[in-house]
Amino acid sequence: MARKLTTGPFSDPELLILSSLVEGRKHGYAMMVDIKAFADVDLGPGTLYSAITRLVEMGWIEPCEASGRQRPYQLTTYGLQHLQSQLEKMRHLANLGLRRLREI
Amino acid sequence: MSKNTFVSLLLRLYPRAWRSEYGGELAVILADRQFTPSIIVDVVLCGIRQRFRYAEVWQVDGAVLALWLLIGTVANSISPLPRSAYNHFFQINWIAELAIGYIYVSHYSRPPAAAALFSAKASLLGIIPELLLAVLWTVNLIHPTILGMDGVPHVHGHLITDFCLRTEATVSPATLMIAIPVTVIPAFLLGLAGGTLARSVSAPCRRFGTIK
Repeated sequence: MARKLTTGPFSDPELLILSSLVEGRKHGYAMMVDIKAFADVDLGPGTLYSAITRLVEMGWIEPCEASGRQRPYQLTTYGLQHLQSQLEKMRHLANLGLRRLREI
Repeated sequence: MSKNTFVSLLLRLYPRAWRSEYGGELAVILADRQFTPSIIVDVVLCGIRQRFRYAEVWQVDGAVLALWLLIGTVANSISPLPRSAYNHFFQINWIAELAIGYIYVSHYSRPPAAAALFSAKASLLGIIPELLLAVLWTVNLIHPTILGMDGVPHVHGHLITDFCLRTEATVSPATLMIAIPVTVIPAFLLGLAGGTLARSVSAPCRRFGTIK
C-alpha cells in the first residue's frame, strides 16, 4: 500500500514529516523510510510531496543545498516551535483521555 | 511504455510551477519504486489537488462549471429535464459568473473590466464539455438527441442528449458552436456587473475608513 494512514496523530503527514526531520535534514526518500520505521506508515510519494509543499509554504521546513539527485529539507525554528506545540497538545489530550479512561 | 515516459506523464498532472520546484525529486522517487495501483492513485490524486491549489479562481470556477454541465448532460440524458428545471440549471452559472467578477475586484483589486474577462474565461472553460460534444459529433463518433423546447426529442440520437441546445430546427454539429458567444458574452457582462458591484460596495467602506 502506498498510503496506510490510520486515524489519530499518524494520519497527519505534516506531523510525521516534522517529527522525522527533528533528527536532522533528510531528502524525500529518507523521510519515507524513516516514517515507515518509526510510525509504520507508508506515505505515498504524492502525499509526501504534497505535504512537503505545504510545509515549505508555511515556513515550517526549508530546502537545503541539493545533494545528488535529491534535495534535503530541514526544520526551521518556526517549524520546531510548531511541532513542539502540537506534540504538547497531543500529550495533554493523551493524558486527559487516559485519566478519564482510568476513571471508568 | 517505458517507466520514464510513464513517470513524466504522471508529472504532467502537476502544475508547471510545482513541477519546476518539486518535480525532479518526485521523479527520482517514482523511478526508484515499483508502481502499484495505490501509488499511481496517490500520485494522480495529489497531482489533481495541486492543480486546484495552484489554480486561479477563474480556473477553479471554470472547472466547476464544466462539471456542472456534465452533471446536467448526464441527468438530461437519463431523463429530459422539464423546461423550468433546465432554465434554473443555467441560472446557477450566472451567479458563479457574477461572483467571479465580484471576487476579482474585492479580493484581488483588479479593475472590473479585467474581472469581466476572467468571468468570460471561466465560462469558456465551463462549456468545454459541450464543445467536445460538437467535435465528437462532427467526426461521427456521437449522435446526440436534440430536444425541442417542450423537452420532447426533435432529433433522436444515441446515448447522449445535448444539454445546451433545445430547438425544433434541424441542426448540425457546428450549431453547438453557438454556445461560445451565447455563454461568453453574458459571462463577460455578468463579470463586469459583479466587479462594478464590488467596487460600489467597497467605495463607501473606504470613505468611512478615511472619516475615522
